[in-house]
Amino acid sequence: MIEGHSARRILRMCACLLAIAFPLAARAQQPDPAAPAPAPASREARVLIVATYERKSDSTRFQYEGIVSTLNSRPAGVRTSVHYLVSESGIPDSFSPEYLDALAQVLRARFKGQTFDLVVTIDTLAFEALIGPARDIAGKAPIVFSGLNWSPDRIDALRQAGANTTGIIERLDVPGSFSLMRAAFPKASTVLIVQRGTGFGDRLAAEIRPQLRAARGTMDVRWCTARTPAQLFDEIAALPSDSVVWYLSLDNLIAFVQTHKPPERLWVRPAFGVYESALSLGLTGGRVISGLQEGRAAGAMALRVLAGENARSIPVSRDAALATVMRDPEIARWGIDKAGLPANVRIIDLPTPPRPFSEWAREHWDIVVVVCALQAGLIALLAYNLARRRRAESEATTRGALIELVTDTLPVYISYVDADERYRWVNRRYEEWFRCPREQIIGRRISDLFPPEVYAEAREHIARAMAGERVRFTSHLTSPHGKRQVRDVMFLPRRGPRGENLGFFVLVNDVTAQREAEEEARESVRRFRSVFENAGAGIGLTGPDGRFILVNDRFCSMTGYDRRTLLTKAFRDITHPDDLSENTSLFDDLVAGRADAYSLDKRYLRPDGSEWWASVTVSVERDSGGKPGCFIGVVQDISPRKRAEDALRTSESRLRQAQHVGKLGMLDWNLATNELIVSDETRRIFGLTKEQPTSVDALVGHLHPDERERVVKSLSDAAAGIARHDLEHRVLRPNGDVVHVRAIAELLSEGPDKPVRLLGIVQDITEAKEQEQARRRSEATTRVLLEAIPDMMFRMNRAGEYLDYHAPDPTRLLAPPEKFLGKNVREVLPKDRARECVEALDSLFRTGQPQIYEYEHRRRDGRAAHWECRVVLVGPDEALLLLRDVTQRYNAQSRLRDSEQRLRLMVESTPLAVISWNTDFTVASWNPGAQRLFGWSSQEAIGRHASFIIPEAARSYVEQRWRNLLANKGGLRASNQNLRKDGEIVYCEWYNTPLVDPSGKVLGVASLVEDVTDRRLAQQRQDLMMAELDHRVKNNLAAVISLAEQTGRNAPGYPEFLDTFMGRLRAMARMHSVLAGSRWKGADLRTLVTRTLEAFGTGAAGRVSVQGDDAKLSPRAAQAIAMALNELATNAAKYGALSVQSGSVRVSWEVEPLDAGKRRLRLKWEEHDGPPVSPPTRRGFGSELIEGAIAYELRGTARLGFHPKGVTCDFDLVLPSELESDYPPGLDNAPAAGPLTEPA
Amino acid sequence: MNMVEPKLHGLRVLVVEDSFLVAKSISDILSDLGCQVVGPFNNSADAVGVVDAGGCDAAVLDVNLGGETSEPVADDLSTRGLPFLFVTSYTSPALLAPKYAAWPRVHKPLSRDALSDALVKSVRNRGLHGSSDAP
Repeated sequence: MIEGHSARRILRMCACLLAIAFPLAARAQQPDPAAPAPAPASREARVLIVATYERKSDSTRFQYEGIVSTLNSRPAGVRTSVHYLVSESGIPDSFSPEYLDALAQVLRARFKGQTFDLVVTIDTLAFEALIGPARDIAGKAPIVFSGLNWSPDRIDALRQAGANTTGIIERLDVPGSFSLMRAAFPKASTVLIVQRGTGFGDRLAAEIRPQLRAARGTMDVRWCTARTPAQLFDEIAALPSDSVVWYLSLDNLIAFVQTHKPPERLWVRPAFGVYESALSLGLTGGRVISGLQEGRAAGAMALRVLAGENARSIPVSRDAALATVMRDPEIARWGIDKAGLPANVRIIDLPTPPRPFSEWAREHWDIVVVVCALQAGLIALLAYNLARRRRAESEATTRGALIELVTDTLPVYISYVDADERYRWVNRRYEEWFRCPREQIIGRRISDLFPPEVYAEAREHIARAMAGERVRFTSHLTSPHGKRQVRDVMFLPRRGPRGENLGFFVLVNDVTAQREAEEEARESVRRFRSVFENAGAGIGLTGPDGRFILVNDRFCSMTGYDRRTLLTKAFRDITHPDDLSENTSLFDDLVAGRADAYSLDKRYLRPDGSEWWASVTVSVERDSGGKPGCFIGVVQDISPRKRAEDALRTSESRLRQAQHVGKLGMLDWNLATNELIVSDETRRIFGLTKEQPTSVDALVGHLHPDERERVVKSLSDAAAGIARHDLEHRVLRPNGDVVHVRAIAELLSEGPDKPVRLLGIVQDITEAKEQEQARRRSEATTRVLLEAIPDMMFRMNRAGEYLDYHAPDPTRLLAPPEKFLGKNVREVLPKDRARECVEALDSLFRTGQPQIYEYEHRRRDGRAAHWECRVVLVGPDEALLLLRDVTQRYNAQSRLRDSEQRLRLMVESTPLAVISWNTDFTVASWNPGAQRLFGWSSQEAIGRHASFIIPEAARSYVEQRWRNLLANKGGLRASNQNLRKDGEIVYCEWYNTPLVDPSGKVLGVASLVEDVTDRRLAQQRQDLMMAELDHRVKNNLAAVISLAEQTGRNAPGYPEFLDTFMGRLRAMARMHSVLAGSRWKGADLRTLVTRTLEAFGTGAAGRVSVQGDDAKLSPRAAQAIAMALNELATNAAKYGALSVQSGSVRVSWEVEPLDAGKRRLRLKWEEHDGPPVSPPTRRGFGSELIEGAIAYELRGTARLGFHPKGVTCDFDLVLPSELESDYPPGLDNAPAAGPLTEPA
Repeated sequence: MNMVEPKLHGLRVLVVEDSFLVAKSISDILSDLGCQVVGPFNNSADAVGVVDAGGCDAAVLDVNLGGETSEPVADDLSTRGLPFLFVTSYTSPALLAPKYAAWPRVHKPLSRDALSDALVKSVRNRGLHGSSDAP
């Protein structure tokens, strides 16, 4: 709508408006020859304001209200009537012709024919709407408007519509905005100016170019070159962090914030529309810095106004008033916080400010933080005036109040009496005197207020004062309430400028209390004298130095000194040295003001050296400044009391002590009164506090329930004089403790049958009891322990003599007890053993540390026994030797040592690498074999992660194995490449064992590693050779076949020989091929049969049926069977079933497992539907090949049958187990049954 | 074609060979040379039985009998001072004990002449001249 307005512009515009509307008023300041003819001053100026705005976004409204309020605030005599057309409903997004039309019609309908002196609008929409009806409404009145988007052609349009366009076209204050931006970001290094590409933006740019030129030295000014929003955003993102983005137009900004997170600092030109749009787009908080900056400035300004100090220097202009639009109270608060505005400043959000705003504001607030641009200046001024007025008022009030405060506070009656003896002014004291408000006093005469006798007394003084003399006198009078008072009265005459009598000031000082005090002091001195001399106690006065100033007779006689001598001494000189330090310290406290008095019992020394006890109370007399003046000591001789007390205390304390030490409590039971007195110890025994009352019943209640009856019986017997009470029993304390006591009680009688008291003692014997029980327990335990301990024990003294022994098995003693008890170890034991023992004893007594040594003892039967001897201290001069047979342990240990030794030797000397791993796959141990294999020494290897011997290629394989190992899921064997220190790759076989503790936790892994690189290479070579061999054999067979063929071609005489021979060679080649295909592991029978038959071209014809179990044939069996089948097939093809179309061959077999992996093979060849068969007349080589070879080579049978229906052949043979080799043992380079097995 | 070799005529020659075809070939050659073929046998045990029974004067032994060698037969023959030679397809003597390393041998594939010459040499060296009734 409105592109932007600054407050200054609006104010300036208002000034122009007024200048137009009221030329007389304005001319003095701003002569304007172009202005229209002045309107009569008496006439009310009619102003029409046309505005359109939305209710919600009403910054525009504030501007209008600002204008209205400015117009209305003209000085009296200038009257305006403001007509206000507001279209508040549904502003369309674009300037639709319909809407403009409607608006124009409203304008016409409402205002046509009316005469206005001014028509004002500042918004574009209203401007557009006005073009049509302008002439009708405004006539020749100037139209004042403001707006940026109004292009010259629109103004032309308005002009052509007949409107007076001499009004001011205001422009956005772009340079002002730039200054504000600079002030807001004084340290910004870069500013990016974003403008719309054409027209409007260019004009703005042109306006600020001079400023930009000026700024160039201080900041990098860039013009946005972006043509698309995306380019713009990139450009913004590339700016240094302390940059400012200065938007000259809104379009890009909106696009920007809709698609991007806004930059941290975004300077939005402080124009309403832009700012509000920014807010509505969600740019709140600290982001929209313009609002914050202005808030801050507004706060600062408000503060200054409040303080009233520099208010004068604040020009009421745009910059000072800070056209602050803070529609968002949050932002306002933030800004004001930053400015440090006092906490009592309230921020209110006023969507619609009350009207008239300034009055409302004055009424309610000291300071108003502006929420509307235009009002800022007004309010600031308002606040300034307010503050100035308040300050003036307060200054005046303060001066009067001060005088009043002083006079009211003084304890003096102050008044002013005029020449007519009337009170003109009195202070508050008078109110107290007369008990009435001072208004009732003022105006009255002295003689009216005081009783006649008082007035009579004062009259003479009044006359003198009236005559101009200063008068002072003392007045004894009784107050209206009967209180007698003594007053020091002063009359101070007052003279006019010409010396005329203006009456006098009265100053009255109440000295009643002072006089009374003086009287009291005199009386007190009298009383003191009397007390001093007649007191029963000694009294001595000293100065702060402790020297006696004054002493009474009694004190002299007490101390044994005469008064004269005493007055030369200080109290210290006559005090017993033992009490001196306490006494001095107490006295010093008085001197220092830490105390006001003290009492103590102390000893004095008389001149003859005898000591006497006194109770002394010393108090101090201080002057008004708190400085000590004299010290008064009151002394009483308490020597006799002291002596008695001492004696008593001594005896009591002894008794108490004795009772306590002996845990002896006393009881005194008065049988007559049933009163019970108990000692503290008794209370302790019974668990009673000192405060608890005691009675016989209470004590009985504390007896152990099990024994209560017994004890009570015994007590009552004692009380009855039947028996002495002497019992051990238990007491149950309230806290549950059990105390063992021995109680003895005796009856104290005044005569027979007249028991008076039962005196008793109670002794706490718990400890003794417990000790005894503990001793018993301990003895029992010791006994049991001793019996349980298999060790032999000897108790010895420091010298090494046997004192005692304990032997669970006496037969193991070297000598009978009588031979060693009481004897020295040197006499008893062999020399070496005795020395060991003595040395251990020495160390033990020297260090106190238990000693252990082991020795071997050869038994009589020759076997070695190992003993462990522990020597421990059992007393200051006694040691205990504990001997234990550790032969078994020793043997086990030595076996373990041996086995460890063997194992270590094995690990050290094995050619295999032996490695143990920690669970994190680091090396724990590394034997020399590992060093040989991998090249790393154990120092280098231990602690390293396994990866140092694993090449990259094997890493994942090994890690998988490792995980399996730790999870106990296999991985026990591995075969992989490893890396040597020299970088060479070796093939290794790994045999791994997880090291598992008894609980199943894996502690690590042990690995045996074998270098199989050579074996692998050999195997690879062998595989190569095998392949080569196969290849050559095949080639050779092929060559043989070719040779035979060629030979036959040149010798055509033997066609049949050649055919047969070639067929047999081919059969051999086939067989070889089948075997080679299985890498000589054995030929598959089915393949062999099928291939053989296929060679005769019968495979696909369905004339052959092959049926049988899977069976592997050894190369030898394969060869024999292949040759036999070839003969059969050849025969069939020539003469048998395969020679005719109708014939068929069926080959079937069964395999029957036998022992030891052997298999029995029964194979049947059957020909069907061939030509009739007649038995051959001669058996040829073919038959021999079939029957002879099977029999000779396989020890089986092959039986040919020449049945008329077809030839049959039954094979029956035993196949060797698959493990059985065709080759003799020891044939190292025999073809392997396959490549060496790839280890798992 | 007179193939008979007079020095070998009537000589009882034991043939030990596991391959049916080769055994047949050797037997045929020996028959042609005028020898009396004993066997052939495809295993040592049968052959040793014949030797022990004094059923032969000389022997032709295949080394590899498939799962065993003919060494037991050779040992038996040596003990008895009977001449024999090896027939083998292997060029290396690895299969046999060292004592037979330098023993006369004929390599497969066999030719009549080679076998004949070798056999004659062996018989001569041993000082045997065929059977008693030989001319």
